[in-house]
Parts: sequence; C-alpha cells; structure tokens
Amino acid sequence: MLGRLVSVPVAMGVGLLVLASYFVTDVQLDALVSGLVYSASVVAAFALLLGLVNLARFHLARVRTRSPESIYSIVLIGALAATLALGFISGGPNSQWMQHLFDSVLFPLQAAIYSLLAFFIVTATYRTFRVRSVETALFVIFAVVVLLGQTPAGILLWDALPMIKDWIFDVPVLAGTRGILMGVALGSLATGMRVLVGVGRPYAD
Amino acid sequence: MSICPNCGAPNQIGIANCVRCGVSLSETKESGSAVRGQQPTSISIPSGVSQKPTTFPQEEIPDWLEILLARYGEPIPTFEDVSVEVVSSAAPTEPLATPHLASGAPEPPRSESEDAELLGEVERLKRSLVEEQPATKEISGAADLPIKTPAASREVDDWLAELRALQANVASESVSGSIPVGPSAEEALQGVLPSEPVDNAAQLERPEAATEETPSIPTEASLGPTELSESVTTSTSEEESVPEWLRELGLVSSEQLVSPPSVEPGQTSETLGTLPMAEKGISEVSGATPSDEEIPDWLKRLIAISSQVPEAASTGEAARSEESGTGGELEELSSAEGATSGESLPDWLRELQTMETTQLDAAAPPEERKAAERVPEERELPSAPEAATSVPTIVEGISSVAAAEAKIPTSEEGPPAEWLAELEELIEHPPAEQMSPPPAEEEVPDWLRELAAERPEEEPEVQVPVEQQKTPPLEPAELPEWLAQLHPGEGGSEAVPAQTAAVFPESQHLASGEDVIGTLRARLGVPQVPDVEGATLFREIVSEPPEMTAVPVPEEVEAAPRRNILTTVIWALVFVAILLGIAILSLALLDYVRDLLGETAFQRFLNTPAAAGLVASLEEFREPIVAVQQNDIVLLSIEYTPATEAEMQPLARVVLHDLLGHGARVLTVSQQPEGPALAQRLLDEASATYPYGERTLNLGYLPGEAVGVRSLERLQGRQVYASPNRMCHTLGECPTWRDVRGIEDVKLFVIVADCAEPVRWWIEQLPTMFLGNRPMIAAVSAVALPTLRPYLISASAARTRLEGLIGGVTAAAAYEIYTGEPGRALGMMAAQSAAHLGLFVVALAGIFAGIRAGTGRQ
Amino acid sequence: MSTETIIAAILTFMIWSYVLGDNPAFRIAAHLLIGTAAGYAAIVAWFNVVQPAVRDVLLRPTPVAALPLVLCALLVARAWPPIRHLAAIPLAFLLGVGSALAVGGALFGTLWSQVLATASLSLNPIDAHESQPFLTSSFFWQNLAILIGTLGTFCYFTFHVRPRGPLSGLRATFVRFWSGVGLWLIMITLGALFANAAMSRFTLLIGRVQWLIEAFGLR
Repeated sequence: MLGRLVSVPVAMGVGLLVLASYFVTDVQLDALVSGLVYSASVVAAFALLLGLVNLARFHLARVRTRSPESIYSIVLIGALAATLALGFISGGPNSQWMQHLFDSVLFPLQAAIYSLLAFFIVTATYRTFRVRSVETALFVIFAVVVLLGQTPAGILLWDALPMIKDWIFDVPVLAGTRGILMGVALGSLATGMRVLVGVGRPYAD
Repeated sequence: MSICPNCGAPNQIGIANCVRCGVSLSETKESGSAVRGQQPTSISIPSGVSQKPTTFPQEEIPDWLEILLARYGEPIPTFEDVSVEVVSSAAPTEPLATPHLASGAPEPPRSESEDAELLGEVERLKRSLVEEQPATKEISGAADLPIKTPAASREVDDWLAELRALQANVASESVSGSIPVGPSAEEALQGVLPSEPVDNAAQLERPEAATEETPSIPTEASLGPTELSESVTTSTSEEESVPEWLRELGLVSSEQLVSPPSVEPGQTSETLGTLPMAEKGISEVSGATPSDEEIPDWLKRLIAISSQVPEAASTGEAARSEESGTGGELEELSSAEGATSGESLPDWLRELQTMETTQLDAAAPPEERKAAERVPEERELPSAPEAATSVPTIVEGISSVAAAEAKIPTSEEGPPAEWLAELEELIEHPPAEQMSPPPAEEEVPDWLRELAAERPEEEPEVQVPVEQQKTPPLEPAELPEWLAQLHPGEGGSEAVPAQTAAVFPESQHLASGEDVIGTLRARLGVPQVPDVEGATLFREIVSEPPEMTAVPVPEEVEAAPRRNILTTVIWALVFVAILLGIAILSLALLDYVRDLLGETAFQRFLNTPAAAGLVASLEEFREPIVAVQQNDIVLLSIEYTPATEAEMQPLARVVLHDLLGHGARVLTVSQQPEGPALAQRLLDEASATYPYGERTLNLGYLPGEAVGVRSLERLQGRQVYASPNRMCHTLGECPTWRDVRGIEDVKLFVIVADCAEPVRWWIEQLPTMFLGNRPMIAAVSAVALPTLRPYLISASAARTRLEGLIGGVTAAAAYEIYTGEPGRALGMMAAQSAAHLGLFVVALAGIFAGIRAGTGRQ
Repeated sequence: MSTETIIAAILTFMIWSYVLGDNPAFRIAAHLLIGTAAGYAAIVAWFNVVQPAVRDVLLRPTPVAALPLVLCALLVARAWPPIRHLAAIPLAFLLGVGSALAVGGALFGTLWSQVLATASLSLNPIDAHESQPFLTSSFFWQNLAILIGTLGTFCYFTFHVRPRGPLSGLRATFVRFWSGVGLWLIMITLGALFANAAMSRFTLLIGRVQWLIEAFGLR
C-alpha cells in the first residue's frame, strides 16, 4: 500500500528535520521547520474535527440499534448538532449566541463536574489516611502538614506549619519531582526516538 | 482331508502341520494362496501352444492344476520347458467369450466362426510342434503328458505320472475312507489319466489337429465318468499327428462350446478371467468341433477335478484374485462348451466365477469363505446337454470327479441350496464386520495377539443395516476390550446426552469423548497417573465435620437501589436544601469566621514569618512583571478550562491586571478549545480600563500541544479570535500590533495553567524559538505547583527555566493583597481554611480508623 | 436572574445529583456536556485554524500554504476503505513532528536543565555565604538531601531489571538501596501532591457554591 510505504519515510524525514533544528542554527532550516510545524498544527486541528465525526458515528450507531443508552446518545447528538449549527450560523465561537451557549451550558457543566471532585477527595482522604507501613506513614504525615500549612488555619494550630510546608516543598518534594521529571523525560525521549527511527509506527493500522 | 498347498500332500483334517513338509496348514492356507496370488499369468488351455516356447515357472502353475495334484498327493510339477502360450493377465477384465458377461445377460452360444478360430489355432500349434519337436518323450505313466521339447516332454511325462499316482492314491484312500470320493470319481479320474503310454509323436500331433478343431470344454454334466474316460482313450488313437498333451489340452469341439453362464447378480464380470488367445483360438477355429474322443480323458478329468477347486481352496482362498486367470481359463473352457450346448457355462466354471467374485471379499469370515467354497462343490452338476457328447473326455472326467466329490457333503457343508443363496447374499451385501480368520500363531504379531487376548467374552451387538438383515445371523466377532468399551452399556461408557443423541442418532452407539480418549490412551499405553493422594485428601476433607472457623465476612456491598426520576428530584432538592443551609449558616457566622479564618486572618498571616515563603515566591514572580516596560509585548497563555476556572480565574485576572498596570500589551493565546473564550472574558472585563484591541488582543486557539507552542513562530499571521474591528483579522492587520513581527518581539511569557503539562511544553519549546533569553513565569493551580518547582530552581546556565512560580488560591489571595485589588481569591480564603480544617478532621478520623483496624487484626 | 443563570443552576444541580448516586439526570447532563464541548471545540478549530489556512491558500497559493490542506485531504481518506491507507501519511507527518519536538524538548528542556541543576548543587556552605561547618550547615544538609533524593527517585523510576553478571549481588543491593530512598521521597512527594490536589478541588467547589449564592442573590 502506498500509504504504508510512504508514511514511515515521511515520519522519519520530517521528524529528523525538526530535531535537527535543535542542534543547527540555520535560517532556512528554521523557516522550513516553521512551515512544517504550522502544517502539523493545522492537521492537528483538522484531526479534532474528524474525531468529532467518529464520536457522532458511535452514538448514531447506538441510536440505530435502540440500545438502552440510546436516549443519552440522542441528547449528545442533539447537543452536538445544535452547537455546530449555532456556531456556523452565527459566524464563529465569538458570536453572541455562542457566548450564551458557552455561559449557560458549557461553563456550568464543566465547572460543576469538577466540583464533584471535592466530595471524592473527602472519601479518598478517609480511606487513604490509614497507616499500614512506613511509606504510608510518610504519606499521611506530609500530606497533613502541607494541608494545614497552606492556609491561615494552620497557624491556629501551629505557627511553624507554613515554614515546615515550605521546607517540604524546597527539599524532599523538589528532589522527588526532579527525579520524576527526569524519568518522564527519558520515557518521552525513548518513545519519540522509536518513531523517529521507524521502529514505532502508531500511525500505521 | 486337507491338502497341503505347499507340497500337495494330503493330510487328515485337524492336523496342524503337513506330514510331508511340516508347514503349518493354517498358515500355508494363506501363504499358499499368497504364493498363488503372485501368479500373474495363466495358461491358455484351448489355445495351446505358441510357436515360441516359454518357460513356465513353478509359481505360474494354474491353480486348478495345483489343486488337482495336491489332492492326489503329487508334487506340483515344474513346467519349465513347457511351451505353452502364457497369457499375461493378472486380472483379466474382459469376459472370456463376449461382452454379454459384463451386462449380465446370458451369453449366446458361440458362433461357428469362433469355433473355427479355435480349431485353427490348434492346428497351427500342432504344426509348430511337429516342426520343432519331432521327438517326444514316451509317456510312461498316467501322470505324464506329452510335451513339445524333449525336456518339456520329459516334464509332461512326469506330470502325467504324478497324475496317475494321484489317481492311485485317491483310489487307495477312497477305499480307506479318507477321501470321500465315489467310485465314479475314480473311474473318471482313470479316464482322465491315460492308462497306456501315449505316443509322444501322436500326442504332439494332436495340437495340430486340435487347431483344426474347435476346442470345446465339456461340461461336467455333459460327460459321465465312463464317457469321459472313453473320450480320453479314444481320442488318442485318432489324433496322432498332434501331440497328445496338446491335443488333450486343446481338443474341444465347437459343439461343446457352451455359452458362458450368465453373470450372477452381484458378481463382477471383470474378475472373470479372459483369455484373449483363447478367444482368438476359439474364433479362428470354426466349424470343426472336436469330438468327445478327441478330448483326452485326463483333460476331462482335470476339468472335472477343477470343479473341486473351491474345496481345495479351503487350504487358502485369500488369493482368489490371482485365480481370476484360472477362472478365466475355466471360463474359456466353459465358453467352448457353451456354443455347442446352447446353455450357460458349465457349473464348475460358473462356480469358479462365483468363487472369484468372492475373492474380492478378502476378509470374509471362515464361514463365508466356506460358503463360497461350497458354491462349486455342492452344486449338483446339471444334466448334460445333448451336445455334451462331444466334450473332451478330460474335461468330462474332471467334471465327473468334481461332481462325485461334490456329492459327498462334508461336515462343514450345509444344505446345497442355501450356500448359493448365502454366497449371493454375501456378494451383494457384505456384512458390516468382516473378521479375518485367526492367523497362525507364528504369523500373528504381538499386537494382534494381545488384541485377541483382550477380546471380551460377550460379543457386542453388531449394528447391521436393515437391508443386511437377510443374511444369516453370523456369529458375533470378538472385539477387543478397548473397542468394546466404546459401545454404550459396556465397559462403563457414559451415555451420550439425549440432546446429542437426538441430533445425531448414530452417536447413540458412540461413547463420550472422554471414554474414547480414555480407551485410546489405555490402548496406546499412555500412563495415567492417578492422583491418589489428592483423592484421599479430598475424601478426608469431605468426611470431616464442618468446623466453625472465623471466616472474615466480606463486606457486602449493597447494590444501589433503583431510583426513579421522582426520587432523584426529591433527593436533589434535599441536597440543595442542605447546601443552602450550610451557606446561610456560614453567612450568619461569616463575620466570626472571617475574623478567624478569612481575609483578616490571612492578612495577618502574610505579615508573619510563616508566610515568608509565600511572600518570597510572590515577589519572585512579580519581578519580571515589574520589569516590563511600557508597550512591551507580553504573551499571556490561558491554559485552563471552565472546569478549573474557579481557582484559575482569580489568579489570571490579577496577573493580567498587574501586567496591564505596568503598561504591557498583552496577547493572549490558549491551547485549550475553551481557553480563548475564558481569555476573552478576562479581556472584556479589563476592557473598561484597557481597551480590547489596543492593549489586549486575543489570538485564539493553538492546537497540537507542543506543536501549537512551536507554531507561534509565525506570530504575525495568527488569526485573531475576536476581531476588534473589521480590519483586524490577523495580528499583522491590526494597526496597533503591526510592530509585532514575530515571537522574538515578545518580552515576557506568562503562563496561567491548571496543570503542569502546558507549562512544560512552553518551557521546553520556547527557548528554541528565538535567540537569547526571555523570562518565563507561571501561575498555576495548587496541584501543579510541586511538579513545576524543579524548573524554578534550575541552574542559571540553563535557558529552560522559570523565573517565577506561584500557585493556588492562597497565592492568588496574596497577589490580590499585593496589588491592592481584592478579588474572589481573598473571599474564598475563609471557606478554604474551613475546608482544610474539615479535611484534617477527616484525615484524623481515617488515621484512627486505620489504627483501630490494625489493632483489631492483631 | 437571567435565563443563563437559571439554566446554569439547573445544570449544576443535575451534575451534583451524582453525589446521591448515578441517575438519569446526571447522565443527561453529562452527555449534554460532551456534545456541547465537542461541538464547541470543532467550531473553534474550524474558525480559528482551518478556515484561515484555507483562506491563505486561496489568497496566496503556494506549496507551503497548500501543504496543510493536502494533508487534511489525505486524512479524510480514512473514511473510505479502498484509500484508507493514505490517511497514514498525514498521521505520520503529525507524529513525526510531534515526536521530534518531544525528543528535543525532553532532551534540552528537561533533562539538560535538571541534570545541570542537580550537578550544580553545591555542598559547600561558603557558596551559600554561610560560615558554618558542613555538619551544622543547613545548606549542606539541604543540598545533600536534594542530591540523594534526586538520585534515589531516578533510580526507582529507571532501574527495574535485576542486575546479572559479575557483582550482580552487589549491584542489586546498590540499586535496591537507592530505590528504597527514592520510594520514600516519592511517598513524601505524593503526600504533598495529594494535599495540594485536595486544596485545589475544594477551591473549585467553593467557587461553584459562591456562584450559586450570588446567582440566587443571597449575597
């Protein structure tokens, strides 16, 4: 297949060009990489549109098969269609109608769904703060100290809590997060190199 | 009496080994037949002699002759130099005379042209003999026959002598009672075997004369014993020009040619021997039919004896297929008679045909085989047709002998009429199970011996189709044990499920798959390791009385009760009522709470050394902002969504206001789809003081994460999210922003993010987009603060580092106090503090619950 | 109270009803959120990214300007099985660019700076303008703790395979020690992260409640 044959050299070629811009300072190379990156951003936005089509197909299938969840799929498809229609008709996301839609539907729904996390944090706190080992004891102790040191309420209990909290962030948390960041960076490096050398082909079916 | 097929010696019934050669009679039954089975060639008796003598190896002696000789205890002669035309036909497919055999229709009598052909062939043979073999050995005995060459003649004489000796033995044994042969048979045999030495020359001439005559095979019924003998004796005197042996072989009158018998239903005509040369001989010889006198008596007797082939074949009939040639020969003889008699083939020949068909059934049980043998034996020789008077005496003699012997039933023989029916049934409908006769012990392989040893006492039911029920009930064969176990009801096999049996009726007789596997495993010797210990342990456990053990009861998770919409609405209203109650209570206690935990307390907190860290981070964060010059371009990245707007909006607002307050021109971008809208909210809120499009501009959405950040290199062409006027669609089209050519014109990058990933993208990509250093500061949520701290405390040599980092509502509140613009963050401090205290109480409760659970476990 | 406020309040309560358990109101609100968010994202992507790219091609038809649209057209081919394989080209293009940026960013943005920062940690109190000796210098112990913690956490995340070959036991002990140190540091970090996450989520709830209070005019 042409696509499969061409995709690997495309990924490798384009990737190595962009990677070269990190090591080589050249105006023409920078201009070329800039064009490639811009094209990639457009493709990424277009891929978002195609993902929308996939979402619609999935839920349309559920409606067609009259599954028990089909009523919710109808709601989803209706909201999707209404938003698209409103956006295209009104002339963009910054239109008044889209702002109303954003303010009345999208904003409160997203805000409310994340606010639910506070309830689960409480239950998670009750279950997690059970000391079973040295590690969990460390976890509990430092969590409580940081929790109390973040707000003025800690001062009511102990004046030094905020300073301890600062030391925790400056020394052990710094060390831990630095190690985590380096590990994550190595992982990203390995994964990216796999694609650049052609070993990993997530774009091929 | 049983004849040893190896040496031909007669042995009493019941003897295991031959008295002469010692070969096992049961074994040699098979081997002898097998040996005979190797004989691909057959002798064309009527056609006589070919011009070129051919050797006749020992193993090529026709069966009927072997049997004859074996019966009378004579060794099988060698015919090495017998110049007999050998017709190579291992399995002649064509019927002897005409295709009518294949169709099953009665074959019409042979035409005179065929008889003439046969006679002509005989004449030619005679002439050749005269030319090549002038001298013939004088036949000394009855067993000797004239032969073409001196050596051949010597062999033939020996053979005739043996035949005579055989006759004598038969006669003697018949007196003793060992051979149930009637006096008529003896006389017939005497007629077959010439009592006087025959002139070889005369005998040699006979074939020549025979060629002029139509050879015909006398039927057994057509000749009586005396007539046969007479014909044999009288023929010798008349045919002096043709060798006697040849004459005797070939002298068959055309009148005596009988139509071959109709093919019995079920018989395969292909197995009936066909003798092309015989046919040719028959066809060439026409007109002249040899008289009875021309057929030597020995030939007649041979023919008669050959009818006893089935009986003699009790020594081994597994190789009947190779006797098809013999059957073909006999069929040829019978066909010679058929033309004259106008009836079907002689019985003995017909019997041979039927015997050959049964040869196909190689695994026929002994009973069946004996039934097949009975076909030619027990058959009563039908009455001879009128034309049988011209049948060669030798054939008549053989037929009479066979008939005489056939008349005496043996212990193994049954009613004569039944065996034929049985044979026919067997041919048409071979039984389902065919068991080969038990072989000799020496030949039985070990595995087979074991198989025989495993045969159960009781025999399983044989499933025979309905149409085969006509066959007489056979004695059930003994199945091996492993095979018997496969039948239901035996060996403990499980019954096939009813459903399976209903769908597959034939599976009712099959055992379950496990049984099959088990039996096969047993047969193959796969060791089965019984888990004795496991079984014992299981038994012990089961037999133990139940003990009361402290089994921890698993927590029963109650299934969520189904709620309908009404119940949900009711509960939602209750929940809202509770929240409102808390809010009202909080408002009532607001002043007190505010003094204790709220803004006042926080302000006091900021003035304490405990807040030094917070203050320091705040000052560090504001340092680049303070350093911004008038109209410097600052890029503000709004990296949060409406979900985290409650925490991030206060921080973003205060930062924006601080930037704008320091005279910067702020460009906002976002990598979240909802980010531009949130940024626009902020800009619209600040547009009263800082007009949108002049001091602020929203550049919209940056897709692709790190790719989007990198795409900012083409800053000038970016699409404006909310155009301030009709002209400003891109950054370069906006009048107040035309001085911005690219990313390098941005003096400060401010990232407001609710998680660490967008900040990391900016940190990693931004330094490579331009030369030199550009400060970068980040205001993040509390959850991202610890993760981004390493970037803050990076080496100064590294370009990828944050100049300032703040996070959380606490930092926003502190920032609000610093800028003197109290906002939402400061108003949330009381609730935030109370929430922290409440969470601390919950944590304590969890700790104590864990301790209690731990002690309880101990 | 405006219509927007009423709708927002109703939707907020529908989402909050999940506290009582899964129910159709919450599911309707959740599916409404997904549909609206997907549609809004599509509108923003089209008007803010794709449409300008199309306009650029129409106004200035150059190969550089046309490249994104060509790739987008190839991406559409994914819908038809006969030419589905062509969609691998733009995906490969996107992944190639993204992988290169990720590699470069990880290498120069994170690894280099963090290794440099760890390596530049000074254990000499003089660098901190402190005159105390090593053992009593907080600077020394702090930096030492940072150094040990960083190495230990890195060992914990990186080394998972048991060493083999010569001195495998000693190497395994070495790795196990440092991984244990890293585990402790990670637990401390996770505790701090948990506390901060709790604080952040409480802020979201507080903000939502405050909005409701203001919406109902209670404040």
